[in-house]
Amino acid sequence: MKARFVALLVPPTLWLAIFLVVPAAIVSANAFTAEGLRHLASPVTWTLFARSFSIALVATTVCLAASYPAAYFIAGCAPRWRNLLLFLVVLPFWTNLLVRVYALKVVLPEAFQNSTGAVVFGLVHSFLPFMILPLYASIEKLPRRLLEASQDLGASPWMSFWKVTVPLTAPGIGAGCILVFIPAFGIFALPEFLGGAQAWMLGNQIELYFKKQQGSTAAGSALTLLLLGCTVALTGVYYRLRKTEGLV
Amino acid sequence: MQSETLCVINHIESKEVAPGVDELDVALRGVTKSYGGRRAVDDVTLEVRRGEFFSLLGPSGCGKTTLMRLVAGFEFPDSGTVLLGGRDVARVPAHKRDVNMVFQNYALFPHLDVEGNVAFGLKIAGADDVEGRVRRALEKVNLAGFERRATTTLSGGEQQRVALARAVVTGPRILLLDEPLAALDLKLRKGLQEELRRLQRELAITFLFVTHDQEEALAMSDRVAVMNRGRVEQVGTPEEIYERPATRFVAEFVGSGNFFEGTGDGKVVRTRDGLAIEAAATGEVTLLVRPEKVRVNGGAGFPARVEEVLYQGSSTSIILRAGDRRILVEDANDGAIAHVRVGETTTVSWRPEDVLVLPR
Repeated sequence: MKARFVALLVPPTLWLAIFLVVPAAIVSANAFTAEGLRHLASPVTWTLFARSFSIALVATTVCLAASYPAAYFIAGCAPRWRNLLLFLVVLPFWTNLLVRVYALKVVLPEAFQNSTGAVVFGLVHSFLPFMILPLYASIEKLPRRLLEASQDLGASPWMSFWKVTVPLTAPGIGAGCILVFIPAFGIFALPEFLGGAQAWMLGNQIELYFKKQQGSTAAGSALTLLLLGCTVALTGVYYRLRKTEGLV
Repeated sequence: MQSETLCVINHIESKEVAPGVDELDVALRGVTKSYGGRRAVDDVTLEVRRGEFFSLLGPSGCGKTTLMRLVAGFEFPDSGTVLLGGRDVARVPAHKRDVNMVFQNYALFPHLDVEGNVAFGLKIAGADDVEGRVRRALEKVNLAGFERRATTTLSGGEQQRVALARAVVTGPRILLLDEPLAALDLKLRKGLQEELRRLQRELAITFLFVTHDQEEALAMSDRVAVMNRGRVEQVGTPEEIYERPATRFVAEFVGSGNFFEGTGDGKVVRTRDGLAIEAAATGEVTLLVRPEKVRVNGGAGFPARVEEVLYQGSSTSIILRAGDRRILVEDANDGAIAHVRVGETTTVSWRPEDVLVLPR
């Protein structure tokens, strides 16, 4: 029994070792060199970091604001409509992201392109389903009785929303924000095609370091680690909050 | 403490004066509410007096919960008026009504602890001394010291008390209770029945209590409205409902009984199977004799054969057969009846004044 259990553990362990531990070690080894650390400390990196962070933050906020009413509406529909609407929400995923980005380039007015706004628009457009789905899942679970109880105790619908609905759907809000923020933070395709120079993000810089001839593996690795560390830290904070608030 | 005593005195006084319009806490006039063409509440007119413990009793689907939700403000009537304390609130939403509700499954807020739940209404209202009022409310329901507990760690009975404290702490005019004891086991239920009654007297709040349990309704209420298919069949004190049911439905729903359908000539009612029962009724009527009014004595009366004897401790149920007819007898075990044995033939009888006449 025990031998079989160990045998079952071998393939995933090998998989993780080959595709996660080894590459991470290589990246770390490259990053923690004089050249890598020099790039990590450079103002250019931190300007890009701040810009990527703000763009991802704005995109996440817009996603949240746009998705909450949508998810709320879907959760309130009759079951057969719900499934149809959820299907429509994920339908865009049937098209490759790059194709959608090119499509955006055709659709968006020329004057709006090559701006931070265009990148935010693209991010919201691309990642909206990642926000709607977890929000829907948590709103759908919310017992209507609790909203009635809140109103019965004198809270207006608006107050009930803030005092009952939002705290009880916090896990969905958190999950949606993480799911949108993380890919948005490291994105490079969207700024590449829609952003131009002013919306150049961390992801673009990493791509540049690794791909271009005058690039630097050390610098690319350092920035990759920065992105990874940030993502892990944010996820950690989220799970920590969820645990202490007792919202599972 | 002093103000509480005053409240109790007020409460007693208010019960002694004849109820005028000012004394009515809830008045429903011709209220109708339909869902998809089905009338859940059908032309209901009801009046609940100030400080009364009033029960809505009926089987599931009879409209009692809908009626309560109309009073709470979760539903609005299709027609008719809902008056709370003399004010027409037919279109006033729930959060603007001076009515609080204890929900069937408590509906406690899982993201708040006991104190957070009880303080909810107070904080919304911007009340002062929230902490003190929460503490006193919890003391009242015997949950002193439970402030910091998570509601999910409480037993059903404890959650029920938190729901009660949360509903009464803001001092509403009317408290609605939607089958609040249905989810609890029998022992706990009995205890909470007494406690609810005591709380209602102390707080002098009007209670509108929804239940399908006739014993509970009879034991706790000042008055009961028996509902069936969206309509009120009868309103009265528990004694009136049980002793003088207005319809066969009420008679059957509140307790069990022996029913005899027949035609009366003013002195005697004759049934199809040939029984002649003394009763002052004319025309097509249904007669009711409650099981505890029937005597099994072997003397004068209708002959019947004993089919089953069910000893239940404080009483014994005896099922007899007279022709095609089953007769139920409920005998208090006070030694008045000699032991009856299954299979023996005896007679059943009752006093003429114990025969109730119901319209057909």
